[in-house]
Amino acid sequence: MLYLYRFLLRLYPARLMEEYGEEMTAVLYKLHRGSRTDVFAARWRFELREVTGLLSGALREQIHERNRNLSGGTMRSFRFPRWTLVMMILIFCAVNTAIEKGRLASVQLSGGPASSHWWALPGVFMFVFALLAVAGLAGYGVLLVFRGARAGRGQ
Amino acid sequence: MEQLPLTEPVLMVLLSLAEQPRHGYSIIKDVEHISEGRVVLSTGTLYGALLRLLDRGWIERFEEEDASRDRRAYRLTALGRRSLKQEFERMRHLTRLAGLRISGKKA
Repeated sequence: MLYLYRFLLRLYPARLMEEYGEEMTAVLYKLHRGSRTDVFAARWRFELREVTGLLSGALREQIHERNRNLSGGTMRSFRFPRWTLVMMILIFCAVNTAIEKGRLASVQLSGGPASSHWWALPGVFMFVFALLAVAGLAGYGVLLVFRGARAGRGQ
Repeated sequence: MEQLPLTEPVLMVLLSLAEQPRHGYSIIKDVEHISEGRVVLSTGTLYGALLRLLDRGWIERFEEEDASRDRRAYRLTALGRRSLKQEFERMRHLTRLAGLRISGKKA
């Protein structure tokens, strides 16, 4: 049972475990030791209460930790690299194209008509990607112009 | 205060710490004792309540100098004691109102 407790404690956010892990483990050990003398039913009630308490506690703290991060904790200093976005789009296009090619090959092998979905073609992807890139650059340009105009007014 | 009313585990933890500073195990046992076995906190519930109270600044954690094993203990802050009194006033008002309404008198 103590192994299970230790496992369940690992479900808590790492920051909390670093700070309170040892203390919580000590409390659990003491309670566990105290419950040894209880009758069978009471011992099971104790074990069930601790397991559900740790599970719900871990879930609650994980949610709390995430909300805390999103509302200005570590997320404020986190910058999403622009290249990651580009790479994600490219990987998505490549995977989608590979799936479509595989589907076409299997249709051809089974003697069916070899018609491809237009939206899975690499050319279409590249066109959409180029279009989005142009739109993004245009938006960035507009923002720069506005910022320059505001700076000019400020002086 | 916007955090009122308090949940029962939180209220019991505050009541336990209102008497004297305690560490985790001692809080669980004291809550069980003062509630006459009605409220039995699990470790997960206790630390959930302690973390929220620490966030609000109602309790503080400190290192006991003379303790051999349980070095970290918790105590009520001035803000925590004030909030507990406020909650007690709210409950007293509710109890008085409920008593009057149940007995058929006007509040």
